[in-house]
Amino acid sequence: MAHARFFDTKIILFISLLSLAGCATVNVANVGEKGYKLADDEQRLIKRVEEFSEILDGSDYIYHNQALEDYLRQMASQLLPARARESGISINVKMLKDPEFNAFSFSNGKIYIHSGIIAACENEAQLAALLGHEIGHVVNRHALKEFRATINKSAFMSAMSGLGLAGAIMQIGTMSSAAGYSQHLEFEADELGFTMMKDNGYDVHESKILFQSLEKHLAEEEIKTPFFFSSHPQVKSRISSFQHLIDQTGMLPATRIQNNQIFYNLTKDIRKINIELCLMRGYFKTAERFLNQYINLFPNEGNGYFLKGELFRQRTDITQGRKERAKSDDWNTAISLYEHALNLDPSLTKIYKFEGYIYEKTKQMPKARDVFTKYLEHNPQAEDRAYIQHYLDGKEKL
Amino acid sequence: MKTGKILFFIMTSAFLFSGCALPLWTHLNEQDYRDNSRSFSARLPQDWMKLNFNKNFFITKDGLSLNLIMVSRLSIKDRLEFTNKKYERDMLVTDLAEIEKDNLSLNKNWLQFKILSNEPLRISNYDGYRLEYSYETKNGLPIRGILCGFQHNAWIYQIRFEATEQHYYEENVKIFEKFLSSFRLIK
Repeated sequence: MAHARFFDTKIILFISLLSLAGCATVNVANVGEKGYKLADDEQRLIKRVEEFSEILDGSDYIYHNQALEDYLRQMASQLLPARARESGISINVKMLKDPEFNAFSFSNGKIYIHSGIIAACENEAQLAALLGHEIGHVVNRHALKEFRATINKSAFMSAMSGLGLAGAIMQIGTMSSAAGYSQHLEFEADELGFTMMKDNGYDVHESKILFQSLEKHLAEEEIKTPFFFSSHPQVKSRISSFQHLIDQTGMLPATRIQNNQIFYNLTKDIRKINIELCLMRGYFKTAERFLNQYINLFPNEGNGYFLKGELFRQRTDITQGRKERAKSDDWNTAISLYEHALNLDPSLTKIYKFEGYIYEKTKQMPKARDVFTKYLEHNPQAEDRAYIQHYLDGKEKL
Repeated sequence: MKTGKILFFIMTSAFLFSGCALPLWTHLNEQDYRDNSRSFSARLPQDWMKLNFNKNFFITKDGLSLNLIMVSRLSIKDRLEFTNKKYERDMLVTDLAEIEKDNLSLNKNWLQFKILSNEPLRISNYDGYRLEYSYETKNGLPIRGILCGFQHNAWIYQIRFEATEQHYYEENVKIFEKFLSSFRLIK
């Protein structure tokens, strides 16, 4: 009996020591706090991140716009808590041409924002909520904390099963917030971002509206798994969490920072590119929502009406029963939108081609020939001129 | 009991021997080839290898990462990999080419993707398209490709050639053109 009790005690002590070891290494000082120092494993993480960033930054996924980059960097610098700013960390923001609603940050202060989520921001306050969240991940060293927590789990499991750690480290070596941190770290980043918004004079009610926009997008396009992967808290929980923070905040001064005109002007081009990507991706409902927003913001811009015409020409998400009549209605709407676009901006001569496709489908051959001829006159080097030329020569059907 | 053991032995042997009968790769001689499952025929090039046990028809001379010719037959109900756009019956060739172009462009594994040309093409007496493109792999290897396709009733046919831009593209593109010109649908 005495022997058995001693054995039990040893097991309990062993498991306790392992647990304590696990807790100690994830309790790190946040950036700018007392005891903050760049750790060795963190420096290795940063090195891996920089290798990945070099490939990404040199690719054509990056959206280059110096004015917008400067604006985002300045905004991030203002949002950064004083303690972090004094430690010397700097935030660098890049944009990706990607219609998904996502943004991610690395432990070296680099933040990447998808065009999809920039387009979803209706104003500068919502952008501040997004940037604040990502900055929260950086200043609270979530990448390092999650990395260490995972190593400890792997170490424990390895001790039990005899497997090595090399595989796990390889997989998470370039960890960023893209795949989502554990739920409590995500909520922590939400809370930090919220505080940054409040401290910098933004309307905190806008924080939850961005997530409501994501929720709408997921429902519109029937996306079952949110972009933030399964380890991100579900969207509804995030909205509730922001509502709770708003309720706790109480009354704030009526006048809050807006800067919306600057925000709209700087994001005009990336919004247009994002709409084009949504159309390519077949996110027709999201594209329609963004197009209505774009046309509302820039009512004299021909591109908005042209792209809306493209939406009506391309979309196929029509209920089967109404298909033929609805398609015909869509094509008529597209032609009207194209013509309005050309009135606003006669340089949009590519529109003639798309008009031609619709006239061809609706068997209006003389009109088709007329606009195709105009298209080739204005676009002699078009990549797809052979289709149109063959059609005009009577050699090919389209 | 004895019957059960004999039956087990026969079934196991049949399983093992059937696995040995068809290898993963088959060496090809220049010959006419008939693919009944995908309803096409074509003239195969000399000394290429055919990959067996695959949903698509795959042949290569020097390895799939260096050069390949692939034939796919998709139903119009099949989902595309990178876009939610859908195939439909009786599409214009320009619409079909546009969907394929969008699908290729949205592949995030392909960096610096460019469409080099987009032209109509008659394939096996059907109106089709020919897209030429280039991209780089994540390791920086430049690849050049040609995707040709057409629609036949509720089926979409794709005939693709890809090779590394350095050396293998120029060496094999004429072989692909010959394969393509011999391609016929079996009715």
